[in-house]
Amino acid sequence: MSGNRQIVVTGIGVVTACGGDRETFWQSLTSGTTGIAPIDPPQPLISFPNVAACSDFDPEARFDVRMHRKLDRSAQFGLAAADEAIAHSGIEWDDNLRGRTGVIAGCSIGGSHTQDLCYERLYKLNKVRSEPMAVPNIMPSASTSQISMKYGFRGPSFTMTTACASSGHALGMALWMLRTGQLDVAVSGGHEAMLNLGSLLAWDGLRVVSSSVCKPFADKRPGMVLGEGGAMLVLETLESARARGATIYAELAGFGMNADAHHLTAPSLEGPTGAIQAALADAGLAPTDIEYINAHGTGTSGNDMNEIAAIKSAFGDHAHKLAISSTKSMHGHTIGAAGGIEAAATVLALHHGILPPTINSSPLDPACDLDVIPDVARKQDISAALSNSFAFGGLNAVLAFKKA
Amino acid sequence: MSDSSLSTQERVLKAMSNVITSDELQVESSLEELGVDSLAAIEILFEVEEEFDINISGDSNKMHRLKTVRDVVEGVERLLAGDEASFWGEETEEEKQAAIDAAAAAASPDSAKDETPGEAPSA
Repeated sequence: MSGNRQIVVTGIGVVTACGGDRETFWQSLTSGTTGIAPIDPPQPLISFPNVAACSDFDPEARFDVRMHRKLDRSAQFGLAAADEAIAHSGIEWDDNLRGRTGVIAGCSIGGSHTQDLCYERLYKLNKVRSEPMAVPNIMPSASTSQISMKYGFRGPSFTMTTACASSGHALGMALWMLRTGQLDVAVSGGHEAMLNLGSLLAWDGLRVVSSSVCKPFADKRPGMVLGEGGAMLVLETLESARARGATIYAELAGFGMNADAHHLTAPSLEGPTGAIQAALADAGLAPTDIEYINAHGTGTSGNDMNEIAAIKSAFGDHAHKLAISSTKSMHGHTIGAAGGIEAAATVLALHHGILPPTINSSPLDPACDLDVIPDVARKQDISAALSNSFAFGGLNAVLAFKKA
Repeated sequence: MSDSSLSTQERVLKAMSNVITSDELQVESSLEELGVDSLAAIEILFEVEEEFDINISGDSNKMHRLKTVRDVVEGVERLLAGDEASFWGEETEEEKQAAIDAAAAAASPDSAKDETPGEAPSA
């Protein structure tokens, strides 16, 4: 056991509205292609027009009927992303390694579609009995269990739930458990699916959802766009990755987290600033080492202005020298999956030397006067990057990645 | 939706086909050979309840009394004939003995320690 093992990313799996697999996702991000589209079928009760739905995702093609029935859409995204990441890693597991591999996922809401259907059956259709799979489908940890069972992974495994930072926290915990030798391999990321009528209506009530598209950091930005999806990374030690000759996509170098202790929906300045500083310290990086930030960048007035202020506060003058983008402008805000999807985007940016843009961000809000990459991806080799996740309720998670 | 032109047997098979996709699903099929585990059992009970709009009371621990699809059909027929308690069929010898053992254990002073939980899903 060692407290300072270096942890690297050797597998990536992604399901989003702008790409149902890693390759398509990256092609969309680097070409500025959005997955945001009108709600389908239309929902007259909902005041906002658009979501980022994974409309090409076909569960019947991926899972047999028995399995399909045991998986809420949220868990389907987690399992599909894990399948892709595990295949991508090329790891050949033996029984010993399965015992040393864990699944650590983030999910905010759990089996929201199953819950919505249960309520519809009870209150609208007046059905007197519930679907028997409702309970195991609704539990937020269902996907973690399914991945563990499918692959026989018996190491420490759990699901974290911290709203929009869930999978940022999950990846951070995976890093720390790998670093300290409690795990040798982790499948970690997150998944969320909640684009059903009940959830859409609940979000409508918060008055934070955009009346058009998602325009992070733009002047007069209209708000966030809800998305769905999943992403998983395969994490292992640098030593094991090198020993098996694996392709290393990036190093997950540090994790910082804290709580605002401030407000249920409005962020504080000190919380995000401190979480960024904690991630840098954990990674052993100086502020000047960071060249790119994949921002939380929800597109709401409150988040984006505050996040820019926090970046200025944490980086000082260097804030003006680093590039920033919010890929939520393309895949929407995927809530509990956001940290995982954006970690995947950050790793791919480091690996390919291409920084994805923030589409719809021009003209910029004068209060967001940093280098927000507009519309077109930028070719730039970088050596270190952050991925920010700042949740409702002030729970902050920041991941630091280094080029491998 | 239920279709009353079908026989009880046909309706049970239709309900069970929502859970069991095997081509082997026939009235004489053994539930064990169809791969019916504890989760599939509660799904079958749900589908049959929905198809006939009936309530099958009791937990799925009694599922072992049903060996074949025909046992399910006959249970539904008894229930539809008005004998609500008879869906599961006769108590097995093992169950009778277990009930006697449990009563004896309950009578002894340190009975609380060795309660054996059933096979129902545990949280």
